[in-house]
Amino acid sequence: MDMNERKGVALFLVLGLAAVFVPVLLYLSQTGSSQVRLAVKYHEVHQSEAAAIAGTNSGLSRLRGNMTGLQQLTNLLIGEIAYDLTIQPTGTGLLTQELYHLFSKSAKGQHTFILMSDAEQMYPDPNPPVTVISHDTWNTIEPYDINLAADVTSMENLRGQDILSYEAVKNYEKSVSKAAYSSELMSKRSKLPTELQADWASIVSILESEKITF
Amino acid sequence: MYLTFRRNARGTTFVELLIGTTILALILGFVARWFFMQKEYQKRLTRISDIQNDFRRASWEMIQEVQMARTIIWPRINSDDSLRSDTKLVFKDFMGRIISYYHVPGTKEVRRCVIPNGPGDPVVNPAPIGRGIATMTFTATSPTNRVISYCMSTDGVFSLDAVYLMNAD
Repeated sequence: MDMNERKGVALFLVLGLAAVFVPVLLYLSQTGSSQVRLAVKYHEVHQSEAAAIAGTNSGLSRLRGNMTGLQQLTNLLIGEIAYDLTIQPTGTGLLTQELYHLFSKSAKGQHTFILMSDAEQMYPDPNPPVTVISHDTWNTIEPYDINLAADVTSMENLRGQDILSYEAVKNYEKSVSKAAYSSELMSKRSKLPTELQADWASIVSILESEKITF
Repeated sequence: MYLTFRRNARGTTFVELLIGTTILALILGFVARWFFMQKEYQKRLTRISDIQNDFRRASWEMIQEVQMARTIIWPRINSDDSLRSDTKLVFKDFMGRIISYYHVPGTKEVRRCVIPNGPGDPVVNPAPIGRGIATMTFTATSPTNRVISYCMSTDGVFSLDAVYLMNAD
């Protein structure tokens, strides 16, 4: 076999190997494609939400453990995920209970998740743990800094608008009779999507029975 | 010397070439089969991943709103406390509006409709909140109307989740 023939065989082998490995490399590159990135994104969303929820629970536990006053805790960990917790006293309630804002914030990758709730800490009688009532919990994915008063105010204003809307709805429910309320809702039936029309009468019946009356 | 020269100079015989080509073809065949099997496997995984992403996206949209809602209006558990499921969910949101999520089997979509709790016409969101969802059921599991479970399925992939309402009436 002279040198030219050897070169020919070598070239044949190289081309053969290239033909085999190019599709393999293509396949491997596909596995690192956008689908994987998308899955990572959603994974981060879930992780940040789970950490923020866990943070809220830990904040409530602190209040139940009779810890009082302002608490600004940063970089707490749930496994490997960090969250910030701020427990902010806002005054004293009618039953002399302490009122708090409770913020829990977790950020993972591009995703921020904040839970905010109002908590009432009732005094221990006679011993801890104390009763804590938590209500009006809401969340946001805006990247607020919960330790800045301006950001807290904007969150409150946003929620305040919603509460004002709710107030208007409650006032409407109180102001109309059950018959008028039911009649107004039933008049919407023909404008509803067909999927909702069949059970609309039953739905209106429930709404009517639970109409706010006082 | 002469024989050696002739032996080296004669080149590759047809049989040798045939054997070489056959071996290469066999190797290529095995590799190609493995490659296409992997490709099919990846296609299947990608499809499942796409479906799960559709589920996650729809879940995310719904959970954000439902966990802030005031009360579940529909479905409600039966009078004998047994569970009741439906393809639509109706609830009062944080602002007291009546919101409905409903499944449209024809287009495999979950849509959202806002029904004013007072004067005004219902408005259906222009874009669906869930796409690529073949079946969807909401199940009432709690007599207090504060928990709703939902199940989505597409092509044999299922997603089951539940939402607890954090706000009171």
